[in-house]
Amino acid sequence: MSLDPALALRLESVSKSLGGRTVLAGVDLAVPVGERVALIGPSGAGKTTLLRLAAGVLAPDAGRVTVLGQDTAHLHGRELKQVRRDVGLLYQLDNLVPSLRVVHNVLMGRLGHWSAARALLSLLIPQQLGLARSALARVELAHRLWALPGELSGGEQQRVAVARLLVQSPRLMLADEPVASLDVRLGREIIQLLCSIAREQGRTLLVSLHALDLLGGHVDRVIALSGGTIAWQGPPEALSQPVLRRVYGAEYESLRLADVALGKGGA
Amino acid sequence: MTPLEPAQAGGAAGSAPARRPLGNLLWLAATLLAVGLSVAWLTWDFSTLASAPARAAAWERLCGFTRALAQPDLDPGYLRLCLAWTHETVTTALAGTLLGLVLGWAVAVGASRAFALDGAPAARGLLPRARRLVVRSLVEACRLLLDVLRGVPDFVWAVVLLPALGTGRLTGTLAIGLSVAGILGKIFSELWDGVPPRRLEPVRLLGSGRLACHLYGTQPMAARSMVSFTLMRVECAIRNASVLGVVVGGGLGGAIDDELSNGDYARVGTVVLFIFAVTAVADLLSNLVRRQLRNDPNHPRVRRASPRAQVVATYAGVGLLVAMFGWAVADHLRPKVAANTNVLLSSGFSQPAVSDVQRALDSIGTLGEQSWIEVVAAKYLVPDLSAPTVLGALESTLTPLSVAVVGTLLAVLGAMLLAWMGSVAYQLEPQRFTGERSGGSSALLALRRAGRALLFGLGRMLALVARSVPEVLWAIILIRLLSLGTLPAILAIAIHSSGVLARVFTETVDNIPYRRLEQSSVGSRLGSFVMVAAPTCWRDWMTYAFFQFEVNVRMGVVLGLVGLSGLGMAFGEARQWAIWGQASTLLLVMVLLTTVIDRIARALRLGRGPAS
Repeated sequence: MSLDPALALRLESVSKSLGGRTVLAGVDLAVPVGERVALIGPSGAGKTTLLRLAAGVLAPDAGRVTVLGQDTAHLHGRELKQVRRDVGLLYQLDNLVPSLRVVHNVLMGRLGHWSAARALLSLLIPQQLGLARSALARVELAHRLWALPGELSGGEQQRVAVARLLVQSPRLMLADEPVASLDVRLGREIIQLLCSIAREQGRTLLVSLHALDLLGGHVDRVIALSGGTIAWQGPPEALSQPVLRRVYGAEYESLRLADVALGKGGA
Repeated sequence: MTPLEPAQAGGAAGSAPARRPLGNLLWLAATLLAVGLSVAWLTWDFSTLASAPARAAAWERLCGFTRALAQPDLDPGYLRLCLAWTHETVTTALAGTLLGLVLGWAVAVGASRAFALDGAPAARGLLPRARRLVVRSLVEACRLLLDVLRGVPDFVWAVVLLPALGTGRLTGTLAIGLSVAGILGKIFSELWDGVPPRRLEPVRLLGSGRLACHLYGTQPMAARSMVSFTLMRVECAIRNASVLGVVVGGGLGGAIDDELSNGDYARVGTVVLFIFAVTAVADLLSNLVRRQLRNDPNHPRVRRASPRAQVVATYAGVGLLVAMFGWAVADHLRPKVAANTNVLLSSGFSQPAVSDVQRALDSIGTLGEQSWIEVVAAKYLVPDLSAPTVLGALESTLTPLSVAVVGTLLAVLGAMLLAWMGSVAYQLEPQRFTGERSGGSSALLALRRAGRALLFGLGRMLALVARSVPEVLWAIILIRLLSLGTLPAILAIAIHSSGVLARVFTETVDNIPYRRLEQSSVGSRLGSFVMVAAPTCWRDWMTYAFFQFEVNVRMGVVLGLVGLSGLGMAFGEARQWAIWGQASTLLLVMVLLTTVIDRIARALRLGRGPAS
């Protein structure tokens, strides 16, 4: 069952405690290949932990996490390399190495295919430059090839990180609040970009979001985490104010979720 | 990081280079050029390695030496003597550092713009302006004094002081003190000036005066770095004190020189082991203390102590420091019989017990026909500025410079390798960012992890041995093995500096939060090290490397006193033949050399950043 090739990610009654606090309690989840899933929920609901478990960086305390057919409890050697190459990560902040020019940050996606010697050479003479150019063109940053991350705006930095994902071309993309530090308009652009890349290339995408107005139309499924368990899941159209109130609890008022326009017409 | 408005983003667009910048390639070309010129300038003598019999002989010497190290002379009498020398080394280093600390601090106050000029805006009117001018020239004078103190290496200070104070311990103490004062004074003033004025504003707004502002504002903000740098100086002082004797006689260093000449390698082995023990212990202790000082909340292994425990630890630390310094100073003032080989040989005679300070004072009084003060005033202070002497002196800087260039480059390469080997993140716990785990039992993974742990231990140990054995000791050992020439000097500098740099390189690598490594560990660990860790740390690495280069140029001068040609040797000879004018010119050139390198580093902004 866990080796089902049609599943990109599978969590079977997964529990995880961090620092003595239970973050996830018995989560079951199956994400078929090619599905785009949004992960929502109040802060502390376990979104980041779930993504880190899916990335294989954390190991579950109980249960089983299967990524692209590999049980993450037994990752080493060639399997580890394969998973690292096929799982792309995008975080809210600190995606880029500040002292490296955009071109090198983008080409970092090739590390899984390069030898260490080639990686070293690439810092002097960028290897596979065409790949970086086309990836940056895709995120409309072709003119920023030789810039330093510090010279870019927050939105541009995230787009460079997306370009790195393009170069890496992972089968599973995990994005942890990728737009939390951006304003709504820039955030929507990034989410659209991620989702269209996933759609065009048939990749699986799991993205955690705080701003719910970005959901509309881009994802196939919404999963709401609350208190370490899956409180609700379904298509984005089915998300309703009562569900949000139940999932977000105390944060419902402070986040002004009542004002959020849900469904297809989210924009 | 705050989200930027689109307007701001548009504004930044103009500054981003549209074409490929060639900075890195230019740096690489400049480095290669410098190395090429250095290699071309130096005279290379591979005769000890050129022919098969010569290689066999060198190999034989190496084996003999290694065997002797493995079987040191453990005669109780000799061990007692070594212990006395070690005691002497430690107290000399501590008292020297204390002297340097006090003197350096005092001059640093004058050299600090933040303190002397008070960061106040330029006042109008003739009188305030004149006052400001005077203060500013005082600042410059203090900086010049620091340059002089720092530019002349401690070994050379010892040679300068030798005729006046004799071979007693005070010569070493003063030599180390003067050199440490120069280095710490510069560092302290830079750290104080590096504190952003904005952060001092709250203290200033309370109406505090200059001193209060310094004590409650600047000083606390720089304190952590100051303690850290002082500790490194103590370590360095212990290392140098242990081998000062090679140049000025006496102590552990003098014994090594004597026993090498006698060919008694077993005794050389004993002394080397003592030197290694004392420097390695100092190194590990200072590491331990500096780790407590680390205050980076992002550090992967940060530990938070309660405020009460922190205060107690601070008091305990300061108390320990005072006790150690007090012990060292008291040791200088306590009357005792000099500990040297002659005492052992002539133990039948009773020698009067005198303190080191008293002995040095006696020495000044009994300097033959001329007092030393006269010599200094009349001879050392009158440089010979004739064109041939000056040109010769300037040309003699090329050898230590070239040796430092090649040695430092080799050291940087070695240190990067050692940093990879000795990194906790990459060797001991990569699973924390790669997600590697065995689940059940995997013999292969266990083997792989054991291999990494072995590599880690090896890297750390190599670095410790490389940096614990002082350059001068490496040099005289390598000279015996490879004969006199450039190669032993370069190797000595490269080996020692790679150990020194490896420590700071490893620290910067292990300071990177794991989250950063997580996202980019797409490939192998080595690939991640090359593409993420090294670039992240690069600027720090280059700052350390350039600082080490400056140290190595001075060390190139010092190695001249034990056989390398160039500035150091020229100075040693001028001193020996009492050509005071020339010796004085050479001292000036030493100061000039350090000052020029320092100014270049500042211009390239490779200097120490603001206090962290």
